[in-house]
Amino acid sequence: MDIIPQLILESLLLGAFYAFMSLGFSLTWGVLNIINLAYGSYILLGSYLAYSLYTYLGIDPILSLPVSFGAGFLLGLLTQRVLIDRVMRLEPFMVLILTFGLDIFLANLLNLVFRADVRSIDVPYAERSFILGPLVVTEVKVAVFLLSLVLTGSVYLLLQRTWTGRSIRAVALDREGAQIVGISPTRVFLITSGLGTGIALSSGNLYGVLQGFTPFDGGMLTVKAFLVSIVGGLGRVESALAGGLFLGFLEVFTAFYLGEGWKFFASLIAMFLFLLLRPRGLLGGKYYGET
Amino acid sequence: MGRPERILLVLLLVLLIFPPLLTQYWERVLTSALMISSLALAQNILLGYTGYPAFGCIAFFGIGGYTTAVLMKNYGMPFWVSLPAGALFAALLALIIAPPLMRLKSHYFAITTLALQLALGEFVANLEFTGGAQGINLPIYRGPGGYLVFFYMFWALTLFSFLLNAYIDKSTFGYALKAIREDEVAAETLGVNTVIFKSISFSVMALITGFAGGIYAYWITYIDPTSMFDPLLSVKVFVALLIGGLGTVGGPLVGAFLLEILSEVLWGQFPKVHGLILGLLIVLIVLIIPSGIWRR
Amino acid sequence: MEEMSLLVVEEVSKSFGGNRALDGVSFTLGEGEILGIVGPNGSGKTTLLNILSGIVRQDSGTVLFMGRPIDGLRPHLRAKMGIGRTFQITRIFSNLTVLENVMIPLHYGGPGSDRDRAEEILSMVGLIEMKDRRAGGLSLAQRKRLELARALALQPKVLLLDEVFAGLNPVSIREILDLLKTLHSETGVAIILVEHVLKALFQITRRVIVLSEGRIIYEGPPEGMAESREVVKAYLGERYEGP
Repeated sequence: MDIIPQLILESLLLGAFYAFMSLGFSLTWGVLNIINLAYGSYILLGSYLAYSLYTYLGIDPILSLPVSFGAGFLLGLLTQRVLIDRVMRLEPFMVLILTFGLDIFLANLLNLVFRADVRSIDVPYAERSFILGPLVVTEVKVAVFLLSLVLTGSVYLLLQRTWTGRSIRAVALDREGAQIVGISPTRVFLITSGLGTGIALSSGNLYGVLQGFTPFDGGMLTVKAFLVSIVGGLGRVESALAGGLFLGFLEVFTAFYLGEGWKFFASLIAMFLFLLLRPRGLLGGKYYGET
Repeated sequence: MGRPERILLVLLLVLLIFPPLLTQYWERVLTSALMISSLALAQNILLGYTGYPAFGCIAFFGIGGYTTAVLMKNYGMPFWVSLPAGALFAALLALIIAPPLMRLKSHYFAITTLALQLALGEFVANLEFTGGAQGINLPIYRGPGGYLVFFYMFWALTLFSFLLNAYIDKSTFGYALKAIREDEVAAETLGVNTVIFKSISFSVMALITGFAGGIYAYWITYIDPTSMFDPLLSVKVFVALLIGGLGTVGGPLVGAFLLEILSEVLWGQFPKVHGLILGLLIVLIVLIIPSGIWRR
Repeated sequence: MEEMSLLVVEEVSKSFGGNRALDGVSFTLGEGEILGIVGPNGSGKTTLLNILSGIVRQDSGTVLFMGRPIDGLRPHLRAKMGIGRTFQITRIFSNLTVLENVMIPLHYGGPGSDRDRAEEILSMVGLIEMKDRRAGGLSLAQRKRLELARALALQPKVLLLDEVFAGLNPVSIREILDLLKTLHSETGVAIILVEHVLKALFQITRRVIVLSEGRIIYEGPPEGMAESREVVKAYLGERYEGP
């Protein structure tokens, strides 16, 4: 039997999740011009939060999505106020170092609380699947796929239809211009950071349902979010979808044809080549500031 | 060289007579402080003087280390041949990728080098002749001087890097690098071949970093992709530089020793939460002393 | 026989995205000549200088310098051939000293490291007392002088000056004008002045080119500008705001 349709299905399902997962990273990069190396650890914070709520209180990780989003939003506000705001005027690589420090801190904090064992959120419907023509469809993957699309769509509507969204986009395109029409960049940065971190933590719920995780998976997740952001170009929902699908296909096909071991290498080399050859992404999305 | 730099040089020379008096513990701490020193001094040439932050500088540490290890283990070459071969290979690779890579600036450059570092780590983990994820066991050094040899090698590398930094600080070669750091377009219109000079700067960084990787590999005798391409080591180099002060001759050396000794003390005190403290330390350093303690 | 042209610009065009910045521009510059280039904002003046100094590559057309095409040459090689330039928004090496700022082009683009020569140039532009100061601390007028000094260190055959008078007070304009006149008479360097401050320009040049939307709409003596209907049209509402 031909395996290709199955691989395509898996890529699509995974791709939509990656699009949503990376949206927060892409947004904070596009709007604040900040590459947040702690982003992967934010996702894991969400996974562990959902894990705890499920294990100790029996709350389904899908129902606790708003909790993760709320917690993330607050965390985003806090880090923006206390940390990022203070270093945004310095050399951009200082922010890299700062967020790397934050990443080390969070990973070790999770390790202290939950230890390094692989955890997973074993919802009862995790193993269910059905046959659709030549395809085997795992229910939980479909659920994550649909939720990712809905959530990505909501972020899109938020950015396009609300005044908050419009001011975020205005600051992303032209910081000084936005200031002239009376938008406070500092406030927009704060909201964007909250939104971005909220997205990270809530995507952690879905990640935890999809697969097992340890406190030290953050770096790998950050790389994924980075690749998704750079493939499409920054700060736009359409671009994140394109990037998410790219990563989905890349991972599924690399894992099948070359082996699991080459999966992360493929992402990294793609990231390296994109930065080197097409730093503006395939869709030519706008970068803040420099060339 | 100014007076503070000369004092530092004297201290570095004095350090040479110390080792036989040291306990094994302090010998290890000082050896690794010297390793971080040489890495920070190498990065200072690139970031401090040329203005390019190679966040993934440890890519060349890994290349140097692995080349040395593979030559010794698979081809039975002596260390004294393998080590320079590894470092030169790292430098050559850097020279080749520099022109396209260094069209990127600031954090785009930083992240691209980091991607390269992580990609190389994954690559090595998937190859057979590098021992895959299991890594390589090197022969244990049993020659004269025992493990002090590694102290002296890192000492020599640090001295060389220190003198190179002092030379760049005052020479016309250094002028070209500083001009690139200050304003690359202006430098180019004033006759500086920026592509050549920034490539040389990148390659020199890779050479020293490759040497450090090779010495490290033989020192710890067991290497694997995780330890040789460790992003944590990259960030340590940058933090040492930040503590000391970018673009100064003395800063990186002081910063590296402060960071190593500080973290040793902290590790000893709180072994369970050392990762937590390191993360916190990095955040605090960026917030409190972003321009370092050594004045330009 | 006609005097040899130092610089020949033939049918040079350049677009950014869909935007045509230069559209078939041709002109020549004689040895030792002073040429003014004026035009409204966005008319392509700075793009033209960027093409001449090699920072930007034109889409089509050719530039000849001393009789040979220089289209493929990178800026540092053009600097060595004797094309010196300054920038509209000054690009000095802020964290280096004033003297070091001049030593760099002397060594890499000029005749070689020579401290005496660097000091001589700084005396010429009136910055000698500042030589050991950090360049970042200079005033705008001093920065413009420093940029001029750096370009002079190249021993240029042509100086490309991008709005040297912009943002300066009448006294500084006068001083730089005198400096340029002295330089010109002493070294015979040719000068292209891209300028907004027309009054200052008219005191030093006998030939101007007017650019509008990437095309040359006037070429000739400055006095003739006011009679050209095209120029008046392009400039409507933008008379000079000079001293």
